[in-house]
Amino acid sequence: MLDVEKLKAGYGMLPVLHDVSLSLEKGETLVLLGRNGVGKTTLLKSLIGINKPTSGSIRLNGTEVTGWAPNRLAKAGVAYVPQGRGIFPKLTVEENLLVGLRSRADGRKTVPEEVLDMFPILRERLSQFGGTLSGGQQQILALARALCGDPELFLLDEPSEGIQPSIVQQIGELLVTVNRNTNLTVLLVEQNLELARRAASRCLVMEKGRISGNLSKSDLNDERKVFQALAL
Amino acid sequence: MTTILPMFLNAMTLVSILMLVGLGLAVIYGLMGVINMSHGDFITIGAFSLALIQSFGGSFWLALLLAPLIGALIGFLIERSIIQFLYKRPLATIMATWGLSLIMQQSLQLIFGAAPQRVYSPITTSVEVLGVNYPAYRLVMIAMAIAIMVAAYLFIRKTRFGLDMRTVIQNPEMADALGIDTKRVFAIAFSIGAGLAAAAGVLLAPLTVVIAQMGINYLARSFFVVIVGGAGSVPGVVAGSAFVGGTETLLNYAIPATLAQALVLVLAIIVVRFRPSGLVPG
Repeated sequence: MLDVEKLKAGYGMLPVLHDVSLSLEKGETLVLLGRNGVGKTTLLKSLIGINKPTSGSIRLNGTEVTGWAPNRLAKAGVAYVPQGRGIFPKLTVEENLLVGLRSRADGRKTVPEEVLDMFPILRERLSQFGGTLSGGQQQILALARALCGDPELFLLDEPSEGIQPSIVQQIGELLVTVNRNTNLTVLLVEQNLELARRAASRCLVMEKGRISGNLSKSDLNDERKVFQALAL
Repeated sequence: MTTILPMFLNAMTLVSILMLVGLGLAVIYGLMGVINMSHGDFITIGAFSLALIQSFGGSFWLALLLAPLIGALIGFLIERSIIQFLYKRPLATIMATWGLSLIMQQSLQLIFGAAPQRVYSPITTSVEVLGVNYPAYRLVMIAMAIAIMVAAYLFIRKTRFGLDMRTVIQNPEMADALGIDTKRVFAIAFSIGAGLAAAAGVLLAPLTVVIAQMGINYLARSFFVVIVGGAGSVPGVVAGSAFVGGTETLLNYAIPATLAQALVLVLAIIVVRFRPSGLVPG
């Protein structure tokens, strides 16, 4: 459903991505591993349109979407949960979720019950400001907000960063459930191997702005292969 | 009572004027962060719209309806043609909007002449309030100002576009990624701010001299109100106007007007020194 070909992108004069190509099948969860600074976040930002690619192409369900504005990509079914979560601290939890509805095609005006059922903690805190939630709760809010938009493709940037292990585990379970129930396609950037193992159907490794290798689901359980791929 | 009540009503008149001129700027500067040096001229546009509409026999109330639309339309054109390219360049914005202000003033003067424009107050009677005679129009203006503040508050808090605005202001990049057309939101918000300034111009025109340079009088005070009150919230505008208008009116009774204004500035500096994000932080 997503085809990226020879994508180049960067910041100003500084190139970060060099000819990145990858493709995602509908319903799979692809984990992108790699050390800090290899271009994982830049890749996600290019896929949601925040960074404009300098060359290459991105196709979504066969449609050429290279250079589209983020809001247009969001309406085409791409949801993005950035590193650091990107929730709105001065909006209530409910307002954060309502804003998540903006990308829907059906013009729905209320937060779907299924989403609140998935995250009971949010239902209890609907009228609280987003900024008063703990880090883990904010991450859950960011995921729930993205799901409110009824996306087809989920771009997740290190959801486990700075979050207590029990919530990381919860997020892992959730990704598996959502993926199974709604046939959502997920591109997950992660450094947490535990979460990667739990959620991934396969895995790519990035190094210095290029895709440098791939690992199958079973390879992820083999520490030696993982370390070799990451060149640790 | 006969001395305190007029004093209070005079203070309320000035506070209302400041609320009206400050509200538009609270959107444009307080929320969007645009240092708009041409804000005062949108007030002038409102007042001139009133003069023009009345000269063709239109009523004050028709002007109060049309002037905000004229102001919003001009604001929209200016945002699309100039401001949208300058959101990340505050210094360039100051220069551009200052230039714009000069152009608008001179254009108005070229078209309408330098003499004060004729405007007619819709209500010329006085009413007795608790034994005191007071111009009815001022009371109407105070009521209108309060109504507009309440409406603006509800608009920002309760409507879909209000939510979009608060979202875009907090984090434009994320708002965009969630499907909100941020360019559209900025353009509409700027137009709303300009329209509010024009509405203020209509309401205060009968109390002042309508000339092309009248906006300058309100520019600095609008910034005052927004900075002292707290950037970009309706309660902030109310607090800022009450502070600036209230102290200025009261001081006017005791000391010369120019000294009173200077003293208000000093007090404002003290407030901002101790409350850097204003009386009601956003």
